[in-house]
Amino acid sequence: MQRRTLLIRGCQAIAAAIMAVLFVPIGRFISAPLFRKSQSSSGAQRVAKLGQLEVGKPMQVPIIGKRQDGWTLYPDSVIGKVWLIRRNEEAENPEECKVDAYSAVCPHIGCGINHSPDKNHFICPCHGAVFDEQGAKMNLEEPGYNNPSPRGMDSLICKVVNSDDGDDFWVEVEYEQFQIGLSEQIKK
Amino acid sequence: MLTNFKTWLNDRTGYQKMLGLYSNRVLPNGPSWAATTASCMLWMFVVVLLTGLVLLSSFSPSASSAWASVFYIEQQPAGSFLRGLHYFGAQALIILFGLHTMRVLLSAAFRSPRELVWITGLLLIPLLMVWAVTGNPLPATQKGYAQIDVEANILGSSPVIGPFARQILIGGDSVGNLTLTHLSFLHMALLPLIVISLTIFHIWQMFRHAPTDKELPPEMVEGAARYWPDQSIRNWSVFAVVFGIVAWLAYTVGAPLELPADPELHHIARPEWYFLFLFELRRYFPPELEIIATMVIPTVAMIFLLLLPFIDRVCSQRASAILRFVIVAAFAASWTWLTFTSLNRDWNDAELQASRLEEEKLRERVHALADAGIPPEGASFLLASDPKIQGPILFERHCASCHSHVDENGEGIAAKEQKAPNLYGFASRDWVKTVLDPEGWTAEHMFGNTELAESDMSYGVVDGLPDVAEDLPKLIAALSAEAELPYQVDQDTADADIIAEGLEFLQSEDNCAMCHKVYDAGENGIGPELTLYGSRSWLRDFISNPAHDRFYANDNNYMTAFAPDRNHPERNTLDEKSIDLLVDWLRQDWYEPETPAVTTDEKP
Repeated sequence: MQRRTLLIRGCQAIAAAIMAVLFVPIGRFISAPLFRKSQSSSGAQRVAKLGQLEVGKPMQVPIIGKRQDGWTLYPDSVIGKVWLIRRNEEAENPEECKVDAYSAVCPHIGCGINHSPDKNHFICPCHGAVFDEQGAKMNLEEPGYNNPSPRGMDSLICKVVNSDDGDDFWVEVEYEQFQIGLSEQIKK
Repeated sequence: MLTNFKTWLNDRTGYQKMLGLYSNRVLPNGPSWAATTASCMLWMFVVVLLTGLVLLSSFSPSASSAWASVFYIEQQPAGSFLRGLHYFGAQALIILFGLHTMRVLLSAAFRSPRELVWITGLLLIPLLMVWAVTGNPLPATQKGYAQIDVEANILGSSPVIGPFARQILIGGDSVGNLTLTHLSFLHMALLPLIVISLTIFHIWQMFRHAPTDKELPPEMVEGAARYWPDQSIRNWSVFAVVFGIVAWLAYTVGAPLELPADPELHHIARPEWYFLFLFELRRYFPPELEIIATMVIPTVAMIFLLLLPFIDRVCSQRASAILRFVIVAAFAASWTWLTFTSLNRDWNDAELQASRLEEEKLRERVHALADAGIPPEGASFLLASDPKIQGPILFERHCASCHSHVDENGEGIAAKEQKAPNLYGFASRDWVKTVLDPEGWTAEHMFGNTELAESDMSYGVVDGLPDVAEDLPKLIAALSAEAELPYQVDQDTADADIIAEGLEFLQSEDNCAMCHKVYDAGENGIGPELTLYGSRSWLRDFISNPAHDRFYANDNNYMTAFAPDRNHPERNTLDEKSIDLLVDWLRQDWYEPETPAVTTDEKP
């Protein structure tokens, strides 16, 4: 009986060892997406010439960057959209030029935010979140309207810089992605 | 608590009776090491199934992405190990299958009442082979494509249904997207279903005809033992060793990922080692009788083995033993002989070995490029768009009839007939230095064999320029800097002051600009334009049309214009992409992976 128990324990030990060699790697392989770093920031990039922007009139520009999709690297892919609003007429000293940039991703559930020129506000077509010219949450004077967005539009770091030949100005935006559904702005 | 649960579960499912089939088995002749092949195979089969299932989660069966997705799997944590387990596990399974079949033959375990166990087991052999054949091309490697192409053509050569079967398997005339989806369907859906069904039937029948302790109490028969755990410990020990070898191979060697499929590549197809015996057998038949080796012999052998239990019945004990021994010995000997003859022939085939070596170099390059990201066009695009790979091919095809490309060690591409300069390091400081020296200019490997051997450059026009002795190094640095060569960028940045002075010299109408256009100075017409000399745009324009006003103008009778007509690309010898590749290669402007700091203690 002693021998029988010993043999059974031996079988079990071998089976357990083999299972470990098999299932630990399987677990690591399957759980890999959990530990992959997201590359949401692509650094500052030039998105428009200053001259293209009219004061007070928002313009949407795409953010172009590298996008790694599993095994494929898209070298020039649209990785996001940004609303630009030029705030003053200044066109001499780049440091005095004021341009604001807001991510077009709605903080509510991630839809793309549109701009309504008639009403002069931003509106998300999915669930009707509305934002004013400063990107802040606003409430419409409509009965029963309740703004679903937990926070205002996400503002991005935006600068005006000289072009390489010095005759022109570029608007430079540092694009970031933020977590949706939170009242705080937290980077993804 | 646990006991209660077990009782409840057994009440509902009756699982203990099922387990009893296994644990109550007895071995009339006691446990044996030889009998471990069956269990070993079963568990290896489970390993291959499980790893295959996991790999399936990240595999993309499409011509443009299959290779990329397999490369991606290799980069994932444990991905390479799991793929290695699948790859070596499958091969271990093939070996175990051979051993198991031979053991069953020798022990005559196919005899009544186990005929169906034998037949279902045998049917697994061709299925397992098809399983391997459909798996190998899945990463869309050049090797896999070449293999499935040949295998499909062998299938196509079989009578009557052959051509149709081939067409359906390949999904058209040539290997591509549909081949990969068809192979995935066979490899990951149809074959697993059939093989698992047959295996279940095989094991069920075997249990059905196995003696249990009800018939044969072990304490009553001398030498008998219970299967569990006396045989089980042997099974598990052997499986642990086999699995250990497979896991070790998977960890240290890993499954290969050869070059991605590319019709431009020349690949000498060979089957995997386990099919080499059929490949070798085919050699001994004239082409019109090839089908005997590829189809007739395997089919006849298969049918004979399937009928063996019934043939065995009419044989005497002695005849049966001889028959069984002869089958095993004949198969083992012919398989070994054929396989090793084939391996030996390939090993001594210089052309094949050279081609394999070349492919290995390309494979390393493709892996390095893939590390930096695979574009949407797929992995074969990496090869097609890499100047380091395509440059020499294009140069040899279009330039090497007159130009050489030989480095300082004398290595590179020699001109068929040196009628034009060695273009190695074009526009580098060394190159410019040679060109500005009359002796260098007229040298055999430079302009010596061209009509330009008689040009002003060869008479020392540079030496006659005012202050040249002092300014020559600056001139060399400045002219070479116009090329913005990536391998000279550090030097160019460091020497910015010298280069600025040299550029003034270049632009002076008393000096170079007398005969060359240099930015706003000078005019075209005598010598080629030196603005951005050797840069991408300069070289691209030059190769496209050296007879342009900016270069040799109407005097050009030296060099072919490779793309003079921009509006009608179809009239040009080279397309823009090829010219770009050549230019980038000449400028040594290609991607190199950042090498981790190399240890320098290997110095002699």
